[in-house]
Order: sequence, then structure tokens, then C-alpha cells
Amino acid sequence: MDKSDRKIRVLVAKPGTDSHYRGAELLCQILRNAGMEVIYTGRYQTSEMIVSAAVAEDVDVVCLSSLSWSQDKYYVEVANMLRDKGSDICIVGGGIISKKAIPKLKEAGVTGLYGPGTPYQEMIDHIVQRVKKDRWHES
Amino acid sequence: MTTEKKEKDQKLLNLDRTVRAQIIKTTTESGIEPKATAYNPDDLPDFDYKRDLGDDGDYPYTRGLYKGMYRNLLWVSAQALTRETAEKSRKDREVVWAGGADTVYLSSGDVNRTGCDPDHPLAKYDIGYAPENYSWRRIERELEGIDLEKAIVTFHGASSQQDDVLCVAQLATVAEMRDIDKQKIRGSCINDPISNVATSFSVEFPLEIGRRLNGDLTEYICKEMRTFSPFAPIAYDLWEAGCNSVQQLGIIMSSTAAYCQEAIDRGVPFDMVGRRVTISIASSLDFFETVCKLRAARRMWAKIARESFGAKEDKLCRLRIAVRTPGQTITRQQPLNNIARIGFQALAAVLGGAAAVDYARHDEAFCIPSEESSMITLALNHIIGQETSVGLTADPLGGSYYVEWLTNKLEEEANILMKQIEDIGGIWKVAKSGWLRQLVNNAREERMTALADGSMPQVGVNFFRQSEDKDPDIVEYEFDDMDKVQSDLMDEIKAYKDNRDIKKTREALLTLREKAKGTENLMYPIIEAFKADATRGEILGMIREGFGYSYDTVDMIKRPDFLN
Amino acid sequence: MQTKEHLSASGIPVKDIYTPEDIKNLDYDKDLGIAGEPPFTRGPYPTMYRGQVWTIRRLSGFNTPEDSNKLYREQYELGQTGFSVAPDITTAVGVDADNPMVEYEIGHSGLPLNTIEDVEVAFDGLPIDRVSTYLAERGPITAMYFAMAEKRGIDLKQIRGTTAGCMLSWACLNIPLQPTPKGYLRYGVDFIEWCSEIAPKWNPINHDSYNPRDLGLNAYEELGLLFASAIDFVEEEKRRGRVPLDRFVRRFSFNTAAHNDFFEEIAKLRAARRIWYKIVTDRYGVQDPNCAKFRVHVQSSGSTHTAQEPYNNLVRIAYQTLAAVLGGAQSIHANGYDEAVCLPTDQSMLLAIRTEQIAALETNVTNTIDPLGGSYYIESLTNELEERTWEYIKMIEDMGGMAQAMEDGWYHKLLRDKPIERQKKVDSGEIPIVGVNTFRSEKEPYKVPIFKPDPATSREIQAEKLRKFRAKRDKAKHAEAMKRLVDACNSDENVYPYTFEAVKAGATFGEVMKAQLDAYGEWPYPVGL
Repeated sequence: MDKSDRKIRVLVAKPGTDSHYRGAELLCQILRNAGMEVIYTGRYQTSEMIVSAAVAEDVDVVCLSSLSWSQDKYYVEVANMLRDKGSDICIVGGGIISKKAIPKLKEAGVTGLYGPGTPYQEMIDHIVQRVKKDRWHES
Repeated sequence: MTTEKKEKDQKLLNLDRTVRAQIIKTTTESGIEPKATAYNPDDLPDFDYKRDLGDDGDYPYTRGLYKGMYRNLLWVSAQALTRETAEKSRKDREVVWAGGADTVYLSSGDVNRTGCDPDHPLAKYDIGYAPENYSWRRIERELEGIDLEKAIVTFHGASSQQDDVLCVAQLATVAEMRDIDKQKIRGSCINDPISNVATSFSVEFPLEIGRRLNGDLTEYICKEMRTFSPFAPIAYDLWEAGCNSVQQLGIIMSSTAAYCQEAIDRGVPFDMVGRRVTISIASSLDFFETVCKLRAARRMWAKIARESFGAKEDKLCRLRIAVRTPGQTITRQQPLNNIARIGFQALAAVLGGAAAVDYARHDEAFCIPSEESSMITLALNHIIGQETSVGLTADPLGGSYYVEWLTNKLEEEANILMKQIEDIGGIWKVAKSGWLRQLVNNAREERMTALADGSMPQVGVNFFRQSEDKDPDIVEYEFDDMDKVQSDLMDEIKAYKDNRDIKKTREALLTLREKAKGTENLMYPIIEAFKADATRGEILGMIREGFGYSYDTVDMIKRPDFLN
Repeated sequence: MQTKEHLSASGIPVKDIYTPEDIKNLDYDKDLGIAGEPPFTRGPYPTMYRGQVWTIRRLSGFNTPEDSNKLYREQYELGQTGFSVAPDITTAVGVDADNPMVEYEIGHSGLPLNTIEDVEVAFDGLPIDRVSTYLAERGPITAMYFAMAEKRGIDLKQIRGTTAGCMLSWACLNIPLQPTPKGYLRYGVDFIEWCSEIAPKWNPINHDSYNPRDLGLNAYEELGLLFASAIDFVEEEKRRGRVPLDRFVRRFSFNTAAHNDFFEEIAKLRAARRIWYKIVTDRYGVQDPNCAKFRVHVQSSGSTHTAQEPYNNLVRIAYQTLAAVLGGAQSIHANGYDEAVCLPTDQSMLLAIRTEQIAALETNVTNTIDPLGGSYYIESLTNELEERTWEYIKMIEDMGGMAQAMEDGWYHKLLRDKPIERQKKVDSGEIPIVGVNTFRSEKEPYKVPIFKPDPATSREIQAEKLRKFRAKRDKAKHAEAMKRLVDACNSDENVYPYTFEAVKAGATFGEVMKAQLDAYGEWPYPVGL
């Protein structure tokens, strides 16, 4: 993990009407245990609400968690809205991702795409790697 | 297709059988540790056949509700299936009905469960994946051409009680508008606000409204839809949230009794409400706990009905149990393993005397069920019924020392929990205070820890994992062009709202809000509102406002102008 | 949709409910007892799966010893806990792979094991000192296996495993070059005598009813055959008087098939344990109850699997596995779901192993012993199956015993008639098979991968190996060992010490089997009935 004092700030968010919260809450716990600062928006967020929270809290990365079939649309929308604001906040997504949606997500800059049963360390390492590269611009 | 070419040293494999052939978990799912030697008559010192078991069809119904059980009629076989449109849902359901599923199984999607209409801003990309029955006319399309007086209609997918209430109201509306005798419609709904609050599987909704609606719905059904079950408290959700069998039993018996009491408090005699008591419970992977849980539940309820509610007739002491195989046990890794899992869970349900078995599908961790996976579980159900001969005799495990011991033990432990709930002030109180939520949260923590550290083995996930590219390709369901489905839906709801007689709609809705402030049964004004083309969101909003809450369940939109 | 008479699969009438009345004469200590103690109804061991889970052991092998060795390693890594070797047709017939009679059969549905080198290759790198192996043959390959073990420095007094040796399944194959049943019995008893001395922890015989059951016998007919056959062996040793009976029967092991009637399969194993205990102690007066344990390997029954909708077989196999577990089996082979179609693919083999693991790890059925003990239905069914089995055993005894009944043609007539009977019932729908005669889909809902091994080259490979092997052995030693073996076969000495020497001197499997066969002559099957 990060050797300096700088902590990664994470916004964990659940877009749309998907009501599953365990994955998101577990993610918060895992990331906190890994030394990150985690803000959880709770369920039932529109893309606007997520983007606005991310910017206001000045987070490094937004972790989107959704188990509905529409997640690719929300994830892409959030990514695009942040892009339009000129932000380099990273977007990482999880849930049950349909294989067809993966290329669109990657194109919009949404990475990770972890399904149920992914080992925790894998997710942590990915987030750290992305933040360092795309947000902190460390090599 | 032989084994892959691997670069293997020709060295001795170093795996010691005496280590790997050990059982990891010697406790049941509820943490009960059976003794290390076989159970025998000494373990049942106080056993009395007639008192503790009785024959099939005899009080206390431990061995089953009806004489002969499955010899006369097999259990109901159910599978949830929803598609993007009513037409697609119907087409695929017909395949499943032809394959042996017995129920018209309707379920709401996330959007409805959250209390939103399709044009709610939160629902933007979520709409269209399930039938968005914002109006009664939409649910009518799902029921088109079905003889409702002969079918079994269930709303068992809902984890949101207010959604349940509106579903049944829409069903009643359809019946009234199509001149169908409501008293002949069979089926059930969940109607369980307490589990909703405990598990928080859907949007947070004020318990006091849930309680009122629960009583209203029960009363309504007991009067107007007598062959419909007024509730089927959903211990299944408790399992999915982390609770073990003891917790499920304790909580659900308390809730079920509480719902009966709500009806009695409204003047519905136990003679009416007790006639169709049903619960929906999860069949977990713990084979014997599942069997014993069902037996214990029937015995517990029989005693509650007789002792707490004074039921004189034996028939009023019956508990029908719908068993669902849990989605949580369906793994994404090595998905075909799930077929064996569903098989074991369903078999346990049947051996426990389930009235209905509601099946998950093996590919659920990937996508909504495909035709292939539906056919597999349909065949699975037939294999149990036709090939294994387990249905030839009622309660075949009855008398087994272990099974009777475990049944007793589960009942005993559940009773302790029930007493604890009573001592604190009753189930409504613990639901409201958050105590129940805390219990469920703790249970969930425990289970997740057990899964993470392997003390609860899950083959393919925390044991015997392998690279996922060795897994078979799951054929994912092909959704229609969702952009079009969604925009069509938005157009439709807009047209619906524009074309209705807005004065009538307004009047019906404002009447509903007034009545919500009082104590009348709200089902009647809800049905009137549906008939006046009010949408679900509007109806829910009026009820909430009647109770003094904000219009919108997620506090995002305001009451529409025409209601000002 | 039950049949009017409500019969179990074996035709036993089933009541709508069983109550204490149905077992009021049950004497717990006498009829059930503690697991691990007479009469062993509740299990041969006191802690059963709490002590150790059953062995996951799948009969397999194909193409060549090299390919099979890879397969065995892979299965072991996937979680299998015992080895089980399916030799190919050459072994069943008893010839070497370069014999023109078996030209097209090498490596099909089994692997060729013709020399001690083949055995060494097949078991290369496998921990046979700690893991037991089942060898589906009559004795010579086991002799090679022991020779290999000795070379590896393994103490034969400790080695564990099982040799098949039983004729019930072999006779179903109707293959050429088999000795008469009495000859078969002679060699089988020789092997048990020899093995019980040099490898006392090895199971020198595995009475195996799998094939006849698969052809259509029911649960108690299966047990009847099994025990009648076992009795033949004991009677022969009793006649010979060479080895004390307790040592002789001590490591008898059994193999049965698990069919669809869930409770019958559970009750069957319980009845079997009680019956075997009574046979060994009451009938043969053996005092030590440890010699009277019915230890069984159960394989899910291939005849219950369908080619239509093969994934349904996953369900059937799951239930058959569970029934074996609840019945207290010591080792279980869950078939691949594609058994009715082809040899297992990687996927179906994996799923079979996983199904056993799910039953072992996730269902928690292992944390108590004989969980169904005391159930009114199970105890009634156990009693009923026991009773009918005794009747069947008596019927065979009245014919002069199993070997005699075979020589008289009774067994083959049974094996011919039973499948016809069964097929009639399937055709009429009396035996419902989902996807076949009931609840058929209009079209196949999915496709499954098919395994096509390519044993075309196995013959060349094996023939070449044999040529080299024969060329490099010490011809004088070999000739002498073979002469001694032939002499033993033609006398009534035990042939196996000579077999052991012969394989160590380079005798091939075919040569040993020929020596055995020649002493009795080829048995012309009584098939033209």
C-alpha cells in the first residue's frame, strides 16, 4: 500500500433503484481496513447526485456498485459527467457485469468490474494502482 | 479433449488424504453441534408420538398437513420469470408452465419495489427490465387470457410490503373490471413489513404505514378474496440476510402471530385469518436443518394457533410452507455445481413436507434465468416427483432419532428467541426499535466471516477454486434494445397520464389521502384510485402524505401539480 | 401421478405413512446397535464421516498408461481421495495388447495394463503408500502393483487398496477367453489366501453387483447376488481349510450401484450390513466382529442416466450420491453426467467430483452418523429388503451356489431377461424417466461437450512396448517362472506366489492369464438359451 501519509479518498455509491447493499457495505469495510478514507452515499443515487458528491468531497476514486442490468448505463453516465467537468477522478465499477457491456465500460474509463466472489486484495490493488496512475499521476 | 498439457514434474504428489478427507464443519448452519455418535432412542427421553408428531394430516401436523401428502397431490412447483415486456414474460412463462411450473408468479422489479413510477428520475436506466406495472392496466396484460378462477397467482418475489399491497390491489382491480369472482382467486402475497424492516432489502419505508397496510390487506383478503392467502411472511429474506434456521423460525413465528393479531384487532375472527396461514422460508444447504425446520415450524404454529389464538378446529392450526431455494447459494464460480445444490435444497424441502417449492436457477449469478436453466430446474422437480419415489410416503424421515432430536432442538431454540422478543415488548416493538435489524446485521456479519475464512465451505469459491476460464460459457439472456424499451415506456406513461380523466384521478387520490389519516381500510380507496387511473407512485405518495411523511419514498420528487 | 399400487422401485408396497406401530418389534441393540458395533446396521465405523469423509474415487483410465497417469494426477488435484483404475478390454479378456483378437479395443473405456512397466507408468508419481487404489481385475495386475510397490520400498504389509476379482460383473460382459465359473472361483480364492498373508490391509476381493444391477435387477436381487457370490468364496475356503475363515473374510469388500429410489438405496446399505454380519458370524461362526463388516463402494448407476437432456443426470447423480452417503458408503463414484453419451469430459468429471464435495462440505449431512436411523419408514424398508434378500440368497443356494448357477446358465438367462423386462416398463411409462418417456421437451434445450478419445495409436504404442519388454527380459528366468506357474495352475496349489515371481521375472499379463485359462479351458457362455 501507499507508503506516504496520503490516503486514498473513495466514494462508494449505488446508482438507480438497485437495492442490494451488502456488496457496497462490504467494500466500504474492506477499503477502510486497507487504510483508505471511504464515504458511502447509500442507495438510491442518481448520476447527478453521485457526481456532485464526488466533486464536493474531492475524492480520488468513485466505486460504483450495482447488481441491476442497467449498471453499464449509469456507470458510463457518471464517468462521462465527470469527464465533462474536467475531473480526473477515477471510476471503478463492480457487480454482475454482463460480458457485452464490458467494452463500453472500458471505453468510458470504468475499470475493475469485479463480480461476486472476487478476492478482496485484488480489488484493493486495482484501486490503488488506478488512483496512483490516473489521479495522483505517479509512475 | 483430454486433460490440458501441463508441464508437470514427475515428482510425488504431496497431498495426504487423512488431512483432506476431514469434515471441516461439524455444526449445523445454526451452530448446533450434533453428538459425535449416532442418535438413538435415549436422545428422545420424553418422546410421545401422538403429542409430538401425530400422523400426516393430524394435529400438530409435524408430519404433514394432509393425509397421504404427495401421494394425492405433489407440491406446487414455482419459478420466477420476468422479461422486459408483458408479452415476452408471457411467452417465456408459457414455456415454463408447459414444462410443469404451477403458478402465475408475478414479481415487481426494483423500480416498483422502490415505490417509483417509470418516469421517476432515479429509475432512469432501470426501467423496462421487469413489468413496470404503474397502472392496473399493465398488470392486466400479464394476466391476459388466464382463467383467474383456476390459477394460483403469487406475489412472492416482492421484498417490499407496500409494493405487495399495491400488487394485490391491482389484481383485485383487474378482477372487478373484468367481472371475475375475486373470492375464487387462489394465491398468496408476502405482506410482511417486519422482515422488510429487519433486512432492509428494499427502500426504507415507515413501519407504521407498513403495519396499517398489513392489517388492511389481511382484512381485505379475508373478506373479499377468501381463497387467497393474506400473508406469507418471508423468512426467506431473513436467510438471505444472514439469519440461520433458529432465527428464521423465531422471528417468523412471531411475525405471523402478529399479523393474525392485526386482523383480529380489526374484527376479523381467527376462524377466517387462520384458515390460510402461509410462510415463505428458505431451504438452505444444511440438508437436515431444512427438513427439521419445516417440521418444527408446523408444530410450533399448530401450538400457537391452539394455545394463543384458541383455535378449536384442527384445520385452523395448519401452516402452509412455501420453500424457496436461496439465490445466495448460487455461485458464479463453476456454475453447473449449482444444479446439485438446487437439487439437494429442493429434495430437503420435499422431505420436510413443503407445500410449494420455488426454484432458483443455476445461472442466476450471471443473468436473469435463461430458458436452458429454467428447463433444468423444471426437470429437476419432475425427477424428485417421478423418479426418486420419495413422495410415496408421508414424512419418510419421521421417527429418525436424529431428525426428531433436531426438530425438537430447533423448536426449543426458536422458542427461546420468541420469548426474548416477547420480553422486550413484542415483534412490532423490536422491529421499530432497530433491535431486529441489529440481530440480522450481526447474523450477516457472522456468515460473511464464515464464508471468508472458510469455516462455512463453499465449493468453487472458498474451496477448490479454479481459474474462471475453465468454467463453461453461460449463455446470457439477450435483452431487447433497452433504449427503445425505455423510451417507449416513458412515452407510454406520459400518454397515460395525459389521457386520463385527471379530475377523477385527483378526486380518488385526495380521498385516499384523507382516509389514510383515519382508520378505514385503505384497500378500497386504493382500488378506486387504480380504477381512476392513478399510478402506483401517486397512490403511495398519497398514503405517505396521509401519515405525515413526504410524498416520495426517496425524497427526490415533489407531489405532482394536479394534486395541489 | 403415482402408480395405483404405490410400489418402491423394487416392487415393495409403500404405505402412505409409517408409524411406531410399523417397527414395534424393533430391538435397538439387536437390530440396530451403535455404529461400529454389531450388527453394524448404522455403519461399520463408530464415527463414520465425523472421523473421515468417504473416499471420492472414480473408476477411470483411457488410451495409454501415460495418458491415464496424467488423468489420475489431475483428478487427485481436483479433490479425489482414492485411485480407481479401469483397465481396458484387454484386461477383461485376459490378453496382451498385441493380440489380434483385441485389435480395435485397446485404450477404449479403460487403459491397457500388460506389464509391470505399464503399471509403473500408470502410477508414476502417485502416493500409493498413502492413498488406496482399486484395480478392476482378478489378481495378476495386483501382483504387478505389489512388485512395483516393493521396488519403491513400500511395505506390503501396510499397502491399501482393492482387487476386484468378482465374477458377477465380469460375467455380464460376455467376453471371450474366460475360464469356467469354478475356475474363476478357484483363482479368486487363491488370490484371497495369498493376499491376506502378504498384504493384509489390501482388500483381496470386491464383490460387485454394479453390472447386473445396471441391467435391471432390483435392490434386493442385487444384494442377493452379491451375498450368494460372497458365500461361494467362503464355502470354497471352508472346503479347502487352508486359511482360518476370520482372516479370509476379514477384508472382503463390496461394490454396489445406486439407483433412483432414494430411500431404497439408503435402506439397502443398512440391510446389507446387517445381513453380512449375520452371514459371517451366525453362519460361519467367526467370532471377531471386525471380520464381519460390510464395507462398500457405491457407484451411481449408469443405466439411470439419459442421453436426452444430460444435465438432468447431474441431479440424478446428486441424489444417488446423497443416498450413498446417507446409507453409509465408504467410497463413492459419482458418474459424469454424460455417461450415457461418452467417456467423461473434463467438465463432467469435474462436476462429478464437485457434487461429491458439495455433499461432503456444504450439506452438513456428514456431521451425524446414520441420520435416518429410527425413521419408521427406513427401518421398515430395511427390514423388508433384508427379508427379501435372504429369500433370494436361499434361492441361489438351492441351485448349488452362484458358480454352479452360472455354469447351469441361470445367471445369463437372468441377464438376458431383466433388461427386456425393464425396457417394457420404460416403454409403457410404468417406470417414468424425465425427458425420455415423460415431460419430454420438443427440442433438446442445450448441447453438451462430447469427449472423443483417440485410442487409435494406443495399439501401436502398446505393441511396441510389449515387443521391447519381451526382448529385454531374462529369457531363462522368465521361462522357468512361467513353467512353475503353469504347473501350479494345473495342480491345486495356490497360483499367486508363482504369479508374483513370474511378473517379477517379466511375465506379461496375457501370459499369466493364458496359464490360468488353459488349466480350465474357455467357458462357452450359455447364451443360446
